[in-house]
Amino acid sequence: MRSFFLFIIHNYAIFLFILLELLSLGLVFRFDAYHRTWFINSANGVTGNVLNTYGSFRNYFVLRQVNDSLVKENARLREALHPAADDTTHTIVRSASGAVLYTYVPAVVISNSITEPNNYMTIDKGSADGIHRDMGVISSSGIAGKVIATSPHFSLVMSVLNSDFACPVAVKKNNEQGKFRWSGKDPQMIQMVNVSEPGALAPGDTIVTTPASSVFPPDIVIGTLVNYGKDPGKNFYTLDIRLATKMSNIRYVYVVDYLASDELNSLRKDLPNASH
Amino acid sequence: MQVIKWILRFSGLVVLILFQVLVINNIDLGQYVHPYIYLMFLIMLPFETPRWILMPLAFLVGLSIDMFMNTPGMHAAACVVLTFLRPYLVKFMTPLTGYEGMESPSPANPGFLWFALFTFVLVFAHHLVYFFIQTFNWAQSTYTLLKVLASAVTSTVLILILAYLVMPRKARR
Repeated sequence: MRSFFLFIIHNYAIFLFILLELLSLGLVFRFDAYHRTWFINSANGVTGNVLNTYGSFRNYFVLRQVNDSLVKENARLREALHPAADDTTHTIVRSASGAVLYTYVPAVVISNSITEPNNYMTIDKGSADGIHRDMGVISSSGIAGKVIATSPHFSLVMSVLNSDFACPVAVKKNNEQGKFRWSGKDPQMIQMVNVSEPGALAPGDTIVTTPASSVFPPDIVIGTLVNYGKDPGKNFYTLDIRLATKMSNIRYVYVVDYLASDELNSLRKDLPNASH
Repeated sequence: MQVIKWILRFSGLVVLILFQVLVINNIDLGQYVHPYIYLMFLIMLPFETPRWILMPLAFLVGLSIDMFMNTPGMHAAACVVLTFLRPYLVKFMTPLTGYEGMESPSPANPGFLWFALFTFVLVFAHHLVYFFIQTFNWAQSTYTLLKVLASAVTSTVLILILAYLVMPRKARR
């Protein structure tokens, strides 16, 4: 027994190394994209505030570009908003019968990455502003991500540049359905996979979200077609798409609350392979 | 005197971490180049630092970077590997005259080429572990290796510049 302890003491470096590696690798692999967030949530008090302070400082340097895009966005919204009531923080979209369909909460991105294989954003609105998990995040030009965790004043958003990001998408002109996928390399290019019969497409065709999504409203732009081809050995096509949202300098976003999503999800939860 | 040196070291660490997550991580240098300069703290710790301080310290430094970057455990794992290898490398690279009178590695101690090589090997080990855990895919190993190499060279150059800047003036000459 004594020699056993001596052995451990003599080689403590190896054991300490193994222990610390197990601890950190445990952190890496134990948590999937959703469970991982307890760690980030607990850190949000510190990191969220640091990033927020820095973000407000950095905002001054991009004021001009931001102004331009806001002016455009305002014009587009004024045109698009048919009879809809709105207060200052929430924009409300109603159906033809007058029922409330979606609300939009404007938010500012305070941290964002595009170079990792799995990217995340932090935004400056949280559960105190009515944000909750599985709400869609869109920019003025297209989709940007999905909320996966919230703290009172910040939310963590899974960016579209994340291998775990999924959403049903369609070609706008002929409504061919497919699935969203990011290859993990180029932050401007994404793919639409599992398309059975794309029909006659031309580069430049618009790809949009579909009503099948419980996260995004339909017809939000995803990007434009660059080229497409049949997967070798399969009966499916893959479409290469240029992302409409420029993720590298994304600043102002809208968080979409689809009020009927709970209803839709509970209806679907008995399906074996329900996609959301 | 020692206490003051350690306080300086740790305030340097805070600056390095903030510089890493607020400045370096926001510069888009393309798909292949992601430098991590906060490693400079671990590389320039005193030669004599025992392993039971080195490794837990590296774990905590890595974890604090992980908190900012939403990469739980990945930097921590890579930093622990770096500090595990460090004492072996110090021993292996002992110059002919030994480490007599030197406290910690710097461009002047024992020499610029020695420090550059020391930094590159440790940074390379860190990046190798980090990028492979991050991709976690052997099919992309050529891509990942290119990324490791390009990032390691960039990190080394940046750390050498920073290390030169923080050197005491009399040692620079």
